[in-house]
Amino acid sequence: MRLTVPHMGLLSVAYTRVLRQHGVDMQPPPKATVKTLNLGVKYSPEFACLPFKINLGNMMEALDNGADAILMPGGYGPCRFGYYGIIQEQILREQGYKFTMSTTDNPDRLSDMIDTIRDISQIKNKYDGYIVFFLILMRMAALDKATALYHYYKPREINRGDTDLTLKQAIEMIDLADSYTKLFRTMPQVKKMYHDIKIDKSFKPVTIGVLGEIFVVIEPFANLEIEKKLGELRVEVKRGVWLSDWLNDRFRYKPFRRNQTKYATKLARGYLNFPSGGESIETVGKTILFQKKGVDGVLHIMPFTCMPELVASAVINRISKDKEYPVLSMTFDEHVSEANIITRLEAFVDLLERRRDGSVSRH
Amino acid sequence: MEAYLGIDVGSVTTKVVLIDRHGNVLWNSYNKTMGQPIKAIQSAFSVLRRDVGDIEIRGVGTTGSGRKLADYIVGADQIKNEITAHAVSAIHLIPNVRTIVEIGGQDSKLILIRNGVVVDFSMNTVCAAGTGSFLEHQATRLGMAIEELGNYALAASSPARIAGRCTVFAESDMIHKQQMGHNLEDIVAGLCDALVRNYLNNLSRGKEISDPVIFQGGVAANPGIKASFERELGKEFIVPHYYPIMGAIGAALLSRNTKHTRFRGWSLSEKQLSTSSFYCSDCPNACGVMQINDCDAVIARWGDTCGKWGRREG
Repeated sequence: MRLTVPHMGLLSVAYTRVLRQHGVDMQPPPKATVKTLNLGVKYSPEFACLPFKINLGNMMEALDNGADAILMPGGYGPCRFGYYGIIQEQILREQGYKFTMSTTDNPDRLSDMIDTIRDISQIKNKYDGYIVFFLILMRMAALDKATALYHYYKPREINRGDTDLTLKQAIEMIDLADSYTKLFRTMPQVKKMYHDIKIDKSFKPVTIGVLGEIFVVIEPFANLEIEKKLGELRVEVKRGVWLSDWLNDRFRYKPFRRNQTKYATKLARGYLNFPSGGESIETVGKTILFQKKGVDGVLHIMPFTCMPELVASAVINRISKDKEYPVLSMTFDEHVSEANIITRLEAFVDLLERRRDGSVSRH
Repeated sequence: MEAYLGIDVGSVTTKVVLIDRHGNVLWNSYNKTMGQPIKAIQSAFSVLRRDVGDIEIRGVGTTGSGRKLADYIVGADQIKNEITAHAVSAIHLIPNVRTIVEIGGQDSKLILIRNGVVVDFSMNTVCAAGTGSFLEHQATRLGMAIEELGNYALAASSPARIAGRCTVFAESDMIHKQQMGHNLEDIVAGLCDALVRNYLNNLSRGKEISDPVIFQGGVAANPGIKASFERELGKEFIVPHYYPIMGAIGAALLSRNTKHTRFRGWSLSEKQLSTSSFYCSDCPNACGVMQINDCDAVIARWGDTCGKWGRREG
C-alpha cells in the first residue's frame, strides 16, 4: 500500500518523514502546480470550491506516480467539504483509477485520528500512537513558527529574497528533525538563521491580519502566494489561521496555544453567536481581536462559493462599519486573475499607510 | 522649466499628462490603446516632444492596468494602482471630496474619502457590465457614435426598464424592447439607468455615498449616466474638467517628490520596441514569460513565478 494525502500548505512536511519511519509507505502528491489545478478543474463540478479542485488534482497526480491508497479528511465536515471525499472517490473511479480510499470520519475526535494512524502504520500500542501524533503536531507548530518568523522578517529585509531563502532552508531543517530531541535542537538554529538576515530595524511596516477559509489561507498555491506578495509590498502579515491550531484545538492538553475556536467564539459574541461552519467564527472573532490589538487592517480570503465565509464576510463588513476598521474580502478560484488581486492589494495597502500617517499627523 | 509626467495605460485608452510643480496641467493626450500599449505610449511621446520640446522631466508616474509595462519602457519613479491615483487627483482638485465614482473602459470603482484620506474602496470583480466598453458596444450596435449616447438619453420621456445584471441579457432585453416598439431615446435612457443600477448593486453595497461626489473616468463624458446617477441618489455629481485623465494626473502628482528620476529620456519614441512571449517548459507551472525587445536586445522579462527569468534590464 502506497498512501497519499492531499496537500494543505506544509501539512505533508509535518507527517511524511515520521510516518515513513513507522512503516507507512508515504507517497505525497507533487507540489501543486498549474497542471494540478488544470487536472482538478477538468474533472470537478464547476461549482465545487477551489480546495476540492486542488485536492482532486493532487490525488490524480499522486495516483499517476504510483500511490494506491488515499487518506482524505472528510466524513461530515465543517462545510460541504465534508462530503468531498466521497465525491472525489467517485470521480476517480470513473476515470478508471484503482485505489483504496479512506476518509477519516470524525476529525473532531483525537482518539479516532490516533486509530487512523494505527490502522495504517506498524504502531500497535495506543500510547505509541499518541507519542507519534504529538511529534507530528509539534513539527506542525515548528513549521508555523518558521512561517511566522518569515512574516516578521520579510517586509524588513534589506536584500530582497533573503527571507524567502531562509524559509526554504528552515522547512528543510524541520523536515529532517524526525525526533523530539532533534526538533528541540533545530528550532534555535532556525531562529538564529532568521536573526542573521539583514533587516531595517527602524522600519515600521503596516500590519495586515490574514483571515479566512483555512485551505486558501494556508496553501500558497491557492492564494497566489498572497503572503509573499504582501511581504514584497512591505507589509507585515499577521495570520489568524494556522495549521497547528486546527489539531491543537482537539487536544485536551494544549501544548502551544489556547483553544482558538473557543477564544474566537468568545470574541465574536454579539456579531456571530454560534459557529456557522468552516472558519467563520474564527474570521469574525479574530477580526475583532486584530482591531483591538491595533493591526492596521484585515484581509479576508475565501474560495468562490464558500458559504461559511460568505456569512463571515457579511458579518465583518458590519464590524468594519461599526468600528471604522478597514476590511478587504477577496474570493479565489481558478478564474482569478493576478492583475486584479495585485491592484486591490496595492490599493488596500496604500489606504492603510495613508490612514496611519493621517492619524499620526492629526494628534 | 521642470515638469512631471503621468502615464495612465488603461484597457481601452492611454492617457499622458504633463504637469508643473503645482499640479497645473501643461499638456495632455488621450488616445485609444488599440491593444498595443507600447505603441500608444510611443506615439503620445512623439506628439508631446513635438508640442513641448525638450523640457526637463523631474519625475514620472505610471498607473492603470499597463502600469508595469509603462514602467519598463519609460522608467517610472512611482508605479501606482488606479485607485490611489484617482483618489490623489480628486483630492488635489476638490480637497473636501467625500466620494469618487470612477467608471472606465473595463473597471468601475467607488472610493470613499474622509478628511483627505481614502477610507474604503471597491472595484468591480466578476463582471464588467457596468463599464464603458459595454456602452460603446451598444452605441455601435444602435448605429450611433458613443458621444451622442448621452444626448439621446437626456431626450427620453419615459426610460425603458432594461435588465442590467449581465451585458448579454441586457442586450437581448434591449432588442426585445426595440421589437416591442420603444423609441431609441427611451431605450438609451433605460440603458443608462441599468448601468447605474448595476454599479450601485455591485459596488456601493451599503457604503455611504455622501456629498461632494466627484464623477470621473471616460464614462463621465456621458450626461445620460450622470443624470441617471443624480436621479437615483438625489445628489449632485461633479464632473471635473479633466475627467478622462484624472488617473494620469494622479500618477504625475504622486511623482512630485522624486529626487532623482529614473526617466529613460526622449529617445524612447524612436526606439524599435516590440514584445514577445514564450512558455517556460522547465516545470508544470508553464508560466508565460513576457519580454520587451529593443531591436534584438531583450530589455526586460517578467511573468514567471519562480524568478528564473526575472527582470532583466539592458
